[in-house]
Amino acid sequence: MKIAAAPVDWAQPVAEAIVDSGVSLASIVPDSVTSKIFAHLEGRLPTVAISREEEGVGILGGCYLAGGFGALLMQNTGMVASLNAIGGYALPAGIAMLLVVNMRGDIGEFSPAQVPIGVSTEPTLRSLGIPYFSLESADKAQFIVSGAVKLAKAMHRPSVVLLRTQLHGGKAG
Amino acid sequence: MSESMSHQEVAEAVVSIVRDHDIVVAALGTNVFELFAAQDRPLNYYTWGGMGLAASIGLGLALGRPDRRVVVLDGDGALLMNPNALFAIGRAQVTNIMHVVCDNHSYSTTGGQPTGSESVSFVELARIFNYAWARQASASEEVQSSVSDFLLEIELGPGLLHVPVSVSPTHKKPVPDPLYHKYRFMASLNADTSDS
Repeated sequence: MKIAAAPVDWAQPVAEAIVDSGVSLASIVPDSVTSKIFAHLEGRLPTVAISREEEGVGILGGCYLAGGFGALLMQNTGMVASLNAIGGYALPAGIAMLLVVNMRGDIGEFSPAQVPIGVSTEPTLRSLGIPYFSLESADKAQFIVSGAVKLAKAMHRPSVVLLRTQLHGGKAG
Repeated sequence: MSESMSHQEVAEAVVSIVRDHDIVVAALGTNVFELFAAQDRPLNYYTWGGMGLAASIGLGLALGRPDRRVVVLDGDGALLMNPNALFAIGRAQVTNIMHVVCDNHSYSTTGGQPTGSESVSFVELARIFNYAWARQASASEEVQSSVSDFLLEIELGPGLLHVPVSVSPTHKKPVPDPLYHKYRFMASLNADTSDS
């Protein structure tokens, strides 16, 4: 099966939407998809590259307490790895942030190692009461990202944008 | 080796030096209890969940408010759970963060299980991870002078002060309501900025 080709530069509009939404700090755990967005963010707002997702939740927590608002870019596998930080800190402490999540284990996935987390990502978010929105085309980036940011701020908790294969074409196996 | 300070003495030494506008972030459990017992103040940020995150939260605060000084009261167990924070703080080279590691060699909040931290030099780790300075303190006066030099910008961070401690006998605890403490902290910290 061949997934429809992604727009040549889908990452630029997503980065623009993040900047336009008032994000004041972006943090990233390396990932082939979100790194393309991050490259467009560097130099436009403060960025912190980190090595573990949980600490990203902490850094964005400090950013929020300081009156800012942060976005954490990562893979869904890493998001699940950071659930204690999200469930044990961000949710009960009322910390708003945007989680920009590359969905591995989604349609077109080649690696079986990604599938268990791929199929359980949405049920996991639902069970925690964390709203999530799929971004499947770059022309919806402004609407989805700005809406997710606004909702996170209204709820005082994280919201999630899932970057779907339809958006970025997935990772070639 | 000289006798260790009590954990309580370290918290008291820190709050005896901090000014009203300085931020203190405490790692969940023992550090929260000791900070609260030493002095409850609006710019104490008490963490309740996500063990290990205090240093990361401190980094976010330091980045978000470069006009403020941030002191993180961390524990050996918490830091060993999130040693990445050393890398991130050292890499970010934020000058307004000081990391105080109260080392009782145990997970005191969960029942005193040994961490094995006797075999670790947090001072060496901090240096390896590019902190601007790192040293050990064993008396209240040493803690006070290090905190004072940092707060008065005589010495810029990121810095790490390793303090071997004994477990204090009693704990006063703040109300376990992270939302209350969030709003109190944010209202105090951001009173000088518009929050639309």
